Amino acid sequence: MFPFGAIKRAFRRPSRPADFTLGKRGEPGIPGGGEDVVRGVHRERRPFRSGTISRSPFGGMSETEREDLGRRLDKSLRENISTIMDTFHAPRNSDLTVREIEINWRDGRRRAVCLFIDGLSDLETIRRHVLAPLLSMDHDAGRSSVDPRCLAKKVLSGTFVDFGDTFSEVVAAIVGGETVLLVDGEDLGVIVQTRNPEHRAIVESPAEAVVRGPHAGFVENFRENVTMIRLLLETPQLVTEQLHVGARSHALFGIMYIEGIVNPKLVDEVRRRITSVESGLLMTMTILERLIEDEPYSPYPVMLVTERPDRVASMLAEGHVAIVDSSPSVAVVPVTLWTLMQSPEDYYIHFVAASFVRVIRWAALLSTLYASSLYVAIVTFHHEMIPTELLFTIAASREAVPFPAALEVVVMEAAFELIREAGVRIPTIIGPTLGIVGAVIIGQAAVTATVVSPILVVVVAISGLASFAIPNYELGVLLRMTRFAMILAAAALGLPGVTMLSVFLLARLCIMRSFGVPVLAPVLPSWRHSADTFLEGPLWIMRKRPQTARPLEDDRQPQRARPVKPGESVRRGRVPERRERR
Amino acid sequence: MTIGAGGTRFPDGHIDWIEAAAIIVAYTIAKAFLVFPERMVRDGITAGWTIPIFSALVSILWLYPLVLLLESHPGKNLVEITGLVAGRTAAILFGMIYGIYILGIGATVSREIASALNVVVLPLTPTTALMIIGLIVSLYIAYQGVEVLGRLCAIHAVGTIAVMVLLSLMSSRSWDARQFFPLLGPGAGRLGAAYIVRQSIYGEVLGLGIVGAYLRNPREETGKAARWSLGASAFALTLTALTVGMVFPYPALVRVAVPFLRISRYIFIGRFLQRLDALFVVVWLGVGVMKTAVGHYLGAVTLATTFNLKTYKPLIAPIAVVSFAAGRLIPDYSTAIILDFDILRTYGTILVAGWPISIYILSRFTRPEKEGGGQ
Repeated sequence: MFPFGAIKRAFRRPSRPADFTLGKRGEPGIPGGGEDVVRGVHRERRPFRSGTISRSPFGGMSETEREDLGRRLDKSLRENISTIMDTFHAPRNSDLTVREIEINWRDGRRRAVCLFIDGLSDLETIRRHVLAPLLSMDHDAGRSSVDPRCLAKKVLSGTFVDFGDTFSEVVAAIVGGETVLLVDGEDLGVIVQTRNPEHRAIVESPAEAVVRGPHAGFVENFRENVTMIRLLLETPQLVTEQLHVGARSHALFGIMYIEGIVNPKLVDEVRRRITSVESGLLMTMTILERLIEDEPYSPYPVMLVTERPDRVASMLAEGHVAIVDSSPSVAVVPVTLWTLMQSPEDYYIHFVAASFVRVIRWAALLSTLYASSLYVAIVTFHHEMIPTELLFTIAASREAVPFPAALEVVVMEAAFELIREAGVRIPTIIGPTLGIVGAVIIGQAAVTATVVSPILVVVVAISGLASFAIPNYELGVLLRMTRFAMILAAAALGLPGVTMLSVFLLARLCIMRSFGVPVLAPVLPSWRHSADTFLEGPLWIMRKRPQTARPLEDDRQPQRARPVKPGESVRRGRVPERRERR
Repeated sequence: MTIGAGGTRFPDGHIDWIEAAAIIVAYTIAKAFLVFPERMVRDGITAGWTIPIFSALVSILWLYPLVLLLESHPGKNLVEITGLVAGRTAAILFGMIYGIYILGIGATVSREIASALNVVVLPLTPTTALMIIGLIVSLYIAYQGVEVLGRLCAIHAVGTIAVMVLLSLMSSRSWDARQFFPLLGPGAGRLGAAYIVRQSIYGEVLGLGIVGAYLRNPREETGKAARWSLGASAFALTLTALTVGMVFPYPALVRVAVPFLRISRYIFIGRFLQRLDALFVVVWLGVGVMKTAVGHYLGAVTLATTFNLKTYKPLIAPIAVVSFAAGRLIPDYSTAIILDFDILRTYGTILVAGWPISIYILSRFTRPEKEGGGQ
């Protein structure tokens, strides 16, 4: 342990804004500035693009401390370590690991330190690619390694190596899980990529499980998530821009898109919104979503949050933009209502079957929204709508119930929501059991106690079951909430109330936009759309990309995507002739 | 400043021809669910169903000049074009009259729908309460601008026409084609006069003169929007008149206040598809709200353009309130019908047909003022 204590900055250099030294956004060949294209070095470090450290991970610091961190590194190793340790509140903060070593240098033995955060950095990588080469470095190598740059070129065997000449850069790198090597007498730090936090294995997303199709889901690792998408889209046109968001957490986010297909204006807009976030909140995908969405007060989802790489890849191929972070949720923009009602499995089964499922899903949407409210409206106001026999059955079942229909429905729906919420919170083993038993027991008990009518249990069950058929979780929650408003409207005015609220909701849908794209597009406004907007059409006729994301390239596949015409038989053992592309 | 010079169109986004046509269709066909079929039969007796067809053909006489005017002045509405062609006084005159016409139509229709709802479905609910709820929703929609209005009307127009077709088909058990004879009804002369006077049932299509300014490609899309506006409206109105004419004999029909609602009560397909009149309420309210919303929007834009205001949105609420108050001043359903069909629409024909024709003729003989001129 170094005897750091009262040694402070005796010779403070004039503070200098931390520059983004390795290529700024907007420069040729550097799409986002996050990746160092010029040097061919991939970095996962903090890009201090803004020229100040206000957007660094040092949120919450005083101005003086920020100025200190904006300073260049000192030639004195002791001074450098003192500042870094002060920044990390070490040794009180035990996360920072300072590994002291001595290396052969051109003028003899030199003291050096490796700084990293245990847990964030991969110890094996540090041992094999940083410590071992340094400790085994002979005098000749030391002699030729005249500065840290040569050291990085000739000695360190880490895959990605970068440099930092200010405290803010090296501190940001350490926080990001990289290892910083500081050598006594040198005012340039070497940053070796060693970030490799522990994460769980790739498993299927429970919320988007499919019977057919791939079962891989995203995990809590940024690089792993990007790789999963890249494996599905093996094209050099797939671009990943890295951005760091948040004044305090400085979380890493990636914008992914296919160059040449995506509309550059969409990418600019996504980038602008993400880089403009100045929040001090712990930055995760869901929080970012709240901060960059078009309609912050509306619970309607304007970003598709999915845990499936295949879904992200297919949308990227249509010209959408994906936002990836170190969480198992990836957001895709823009998104329309029609996309929210699609499931990844639709594309793994026959299109006729997929269309059938889609119709069921839309019916489920209407049932979730209207089943209970129509029951209330009819029973309360419009008896004449129901056939006489059914009317008698309902009247008989409600005879002993002392409550108005609206109260009955609200209580039952609330009980259903309670069971659902409890089922999510309690341990997995007894969760489903409680859900089923709770529903049966409460329903049966309520009917026996004549608190609710038997027919109402059926209505609420249909409404509740239907809400599970909505493929998008957020849309499902929204529908469940809106259902209560519908019930109240029906209780107040009957069908007129339901109609008025429906018109209002439709108007809201017409207003909503997802990154500038109307959520009812490409139907309203009427843009070109593929045959899978509402129902699922044959894949081979979807020649053009839908205009939802306004892609630059329209053609998705040639006119004759199928080698054989539908219905045309192929003689055994003979490969069908290749057709001319039009 | 001369109205229209310099482009006073409000930055309200753009629509395509489908949305423009949908706005006009939703605005026009609302009347089909009210007393409209009965009025057609009054005028044309057994040939009442032909009135929407031939009146649509007559309407082409003023719709075509309107299309030509919009195409030759892209991005300008009819009031602005009037200002450029005939001067500020003419623009104010026509703009004011058209604004009052829209207000009148809105007031009478909202009153008719509220009264019908009150009588048929919610007898214990005060008419004012129904009108206020409708007013709030229509205000909200109108305030969102032409893009939202266009999208909502597209959904609504398709849904309404689908309901019309369904109701017509489901009532097929009651059809009797013999009720169309004699074919010429009251005689060729009276029928011909009805074709000309009743072209006012398409008076709402004049709204294209306002929404046409928002078309994305006015030169390519105005004609298409006009054709579809008139065609779809004519189809819906004819279908209604035809169905009602086949179900009710003429003497009975003139005593039915809301014929299409009565038809829905006759529907009996199997044991469980019967008495759909309560469901009719949904359609009624839908068309009522959309019609009033479009009316508020057109009224606000017309008056704002007339008086060279920079924005139209502050006018929406006052127009809605005035329309609501005017609707409350109408004592009953019968008076609302008389005001609507016998006064507003009959005399409104002069405005509807006269305005585009006169401005078009004038535009052929005068050179338009230059942008920014006439200040």
